[in-house]
Amino acid sequence: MTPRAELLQGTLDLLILKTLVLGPLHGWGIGKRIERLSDDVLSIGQGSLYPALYRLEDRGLVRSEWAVSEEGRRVKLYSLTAAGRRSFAAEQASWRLLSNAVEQVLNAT
Amino acid sequence: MLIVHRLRRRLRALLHRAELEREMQEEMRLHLEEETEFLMRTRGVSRSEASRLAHVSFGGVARYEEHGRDTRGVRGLEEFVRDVRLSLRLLVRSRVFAVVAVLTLALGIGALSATFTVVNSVVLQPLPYPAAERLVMVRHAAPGLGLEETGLSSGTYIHYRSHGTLIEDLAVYTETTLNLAGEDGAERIHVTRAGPELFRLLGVQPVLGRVYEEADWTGSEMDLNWTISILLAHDFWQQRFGGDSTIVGRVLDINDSPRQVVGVLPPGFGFPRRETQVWVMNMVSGDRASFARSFEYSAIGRLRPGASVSDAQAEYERILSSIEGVYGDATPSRMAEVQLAPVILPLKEVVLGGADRVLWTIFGSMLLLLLVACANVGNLFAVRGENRAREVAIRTSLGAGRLALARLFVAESLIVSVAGAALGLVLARYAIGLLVALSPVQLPRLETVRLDASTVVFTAAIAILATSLFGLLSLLRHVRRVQLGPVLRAGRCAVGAGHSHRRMQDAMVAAQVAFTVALLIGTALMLRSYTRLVGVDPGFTAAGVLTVHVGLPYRLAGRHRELYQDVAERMRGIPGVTSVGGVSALPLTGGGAEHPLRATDLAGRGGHADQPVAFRFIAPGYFQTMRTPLLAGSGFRPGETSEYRYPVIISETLARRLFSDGPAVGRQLVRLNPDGEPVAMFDRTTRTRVPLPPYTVAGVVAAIRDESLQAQGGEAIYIPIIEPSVERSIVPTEMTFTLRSARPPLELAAAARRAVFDTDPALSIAGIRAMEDIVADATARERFLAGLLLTAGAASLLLGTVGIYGTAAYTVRRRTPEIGMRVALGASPRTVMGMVLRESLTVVLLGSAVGLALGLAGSRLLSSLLFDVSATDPVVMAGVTALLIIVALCASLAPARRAARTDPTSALRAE
Repeated sequence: MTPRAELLQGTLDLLILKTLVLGPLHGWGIGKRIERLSDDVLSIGQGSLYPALYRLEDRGLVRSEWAVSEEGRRVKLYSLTAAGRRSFAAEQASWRLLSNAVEQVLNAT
Repeated sequence: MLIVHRLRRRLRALLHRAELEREMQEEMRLHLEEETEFLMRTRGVSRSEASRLAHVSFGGVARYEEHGRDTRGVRGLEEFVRDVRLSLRLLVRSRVFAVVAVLTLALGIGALSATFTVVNSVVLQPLPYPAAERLVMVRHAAPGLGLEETGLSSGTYIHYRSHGTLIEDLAVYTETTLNLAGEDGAERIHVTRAGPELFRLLGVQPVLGRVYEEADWTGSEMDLNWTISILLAHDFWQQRFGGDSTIVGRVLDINDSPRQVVGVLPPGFGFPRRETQVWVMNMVSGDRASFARSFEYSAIGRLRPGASVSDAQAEYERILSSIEGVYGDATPSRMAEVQLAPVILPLKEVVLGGADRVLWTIFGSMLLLLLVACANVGNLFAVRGENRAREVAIRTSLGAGRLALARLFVAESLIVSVAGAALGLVLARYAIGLLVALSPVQLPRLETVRLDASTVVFTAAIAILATSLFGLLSLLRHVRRVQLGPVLRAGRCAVGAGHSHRRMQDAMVAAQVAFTVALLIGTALMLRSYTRLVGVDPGFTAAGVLTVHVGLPYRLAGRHRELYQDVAERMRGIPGVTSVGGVSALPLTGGGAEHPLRATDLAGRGGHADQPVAFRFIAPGYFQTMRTPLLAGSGFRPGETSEYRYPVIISETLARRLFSDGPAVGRQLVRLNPDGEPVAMFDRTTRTRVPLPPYTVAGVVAAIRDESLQAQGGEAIYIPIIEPSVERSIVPTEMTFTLRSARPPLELAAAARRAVFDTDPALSIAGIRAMEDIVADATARERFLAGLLLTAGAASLLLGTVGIYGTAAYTVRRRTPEIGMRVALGASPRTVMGMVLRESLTVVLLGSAVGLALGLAGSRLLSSLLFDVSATDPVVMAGVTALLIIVALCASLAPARRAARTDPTSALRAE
């Protein structure tokens, strides 16, 4: 079993935003993509995924709309808004800063 | 904008709840399906196995849905809406409760909202002029001349205007009635003489033409053909000239002088009164101004921002003292004699003239009525609450917290209150129309009364208060001590339980009684006042008398005696007329001149010997027609001559003051001019000023209440119009003829009109009214108040009775088992009845005591409106309390009798 890690809520939001930067996607697809991109280390519990998506929508960072997928089935697509794009850039920078600092402390002898 | 975005989402969430729910479920379902297919592909399991795995990894769907809903952010509101829906269903099931509660509330709210609308429009709204709160009226008190309240003289006006700094733009005006000539005959019109400052002060813009200005004052007053500029009132322009747009520039004949129309004023403008039809330009000239010759001018001005009324009055007092020597008659002795003092009042106060007292009284009584109605509805809620005790217990045991219960009760109160308020608003609309139609003519600013946004806001506020009140009441009863066990088992509350329930009901009934008693005290006082007023003997008999108000143009002034006598003769000839008389100003109509008099043989008797006295001309036959008792000497019937050369008749009050030492008949009087000297006329033969010959008292009549019914009969002198003339220096240009007949007075109107115009078509008729109507107008305000209070009081009494009956009946029903037990143990029917009645009586007595206290406090505020009745009249207090006790006993009688007839076995079995 691949090791799994616990995710903080803010981090999940960041990952979702990143996923959507690569293109609009429906809920299941977002979860699967994150899994794939992290080599299965990160597995999003569905219980966290949809609440996170609704929260992001409430904050105006993503928008959703019903559409028909290539396979011809009905899906609810989520996509980034302009505010979401701006927020993502800021969150990513902030994350980088944080993780570098943590890494630095851990590597100190 | 995030807030907008969020609000829009909330709104969507509220409105499209069902749709959003479906979408969410659809999304979850699709997710599960995709996961299932993914698992089938990647792990090669069967569909059912994949589906099971998918569901397991997904977890409880419900939880996510809850989460999802939470983030939609409208949880609390959604649940409240659900509560409202539930309450609505429950209310529909108990239709009787809902209907009675809503109707009762609607009655109370409607009455109060209607009254509020009137109070708001008349009393609270500012006058319709710019910076109206700073407008003031300037008057004088001249105690030295016996004048409590009088206007400005030309000299004081000019002096204040030039030296005063705290009042801007002081403007004066006088009012009179004049003859307007026309093809169909002359018409009597209300005229105000004023300068252009008045219109500047009031910020009026004409709808046609322009307002006259200083530049229009070009002629000289000696020039009879000087065409003075005038302005027309809008309604007058419509009615008399058909709204003719070419009216500007037309010259009208007013009192035989040419007057040119320069403009028409906007509709709704009516200063100083609604009836004013024409404004004639008049500028006060400094050349002939005097200090204290006559105080005919009314004056208004605007306070400078920041100046108060008392500041302005103090300034004017200072300025007044510096008027000495500025005018010929402003001598130190004259100033000391007159004792002039300026009095400044806010204009609104003068316009309202005490009407605010009347209106607030009505508001207070309607408020009491609403409180009674609310207590009634509160009682209904209380009773209903008891019936739902079981339901509440079940909810509580299922986990409904206090908040959830509270929400349910509030939802119910809200529905009832909102429904009651909405219906009340509809009722108010009709009530307002009724109020305005019934109100006395003298109530100012009635034309501005309109149901508008402020009424709606007021009603909404009441609805909110009512909601809180009823919600609170319901809460208090339940959330405190709901004992689940016994309640659930018993279904209805068992014997002995429910103490708190009863106490709250009793409190409601006591409250109703208290408010009703307070209201009825006010009502009784007002009714008593009204009956006393109507019973006053005004000094004449009004029934059967028709009055015809006739005006004379100046050019006919020389022939006035002949013309008036002709009219009177013609009127005597009308079939059905038993007697005819006339007077220059009718009592209770507020007209008429006053002049000071002095008895010649008592010259120099101190005090207010020179007090002004009502001065009237009469056409012989007046006292007989009006049935005013003649107390001494002659009353001048038609055709009667007198042994005296200059005979006059005086009222008994005047006789008592001037001739307290003996009979008045035969004694002599002189009329004084404003300087306190006997009036003198210029005699052409001797070319000097010769004092007029003194009058001789030929008769004394009973005092007539001239000013109002409330004021004591005044002092008056009556000059008969006979040959040779008694009074040469004053010509009465108006004469109201009085006709007595056995037929209804108004039937004679047409014949009377013909009698006037047959005598001379230049005579004008200002109005024909039955004397009874004029007297009725004098009591209109009291009648209005008494009528409204009576209605409110009756409604309140009815509601109170229903409340007492309801409570008694309910108590009996609930205590049936207990009563059954008592009867089984040997209690007689009388004892049982006594028990029930005693309970009712205790509550009523308590309520009455509180109500008496309330009523006593409130009636003190009424005292200015009462006539001949003390605000603490013990008869009224005792009467009202007794009434309520009797009503309470009667209302409790039926339930008490029913209790007495309780069959013990069936009562105990029902438990």
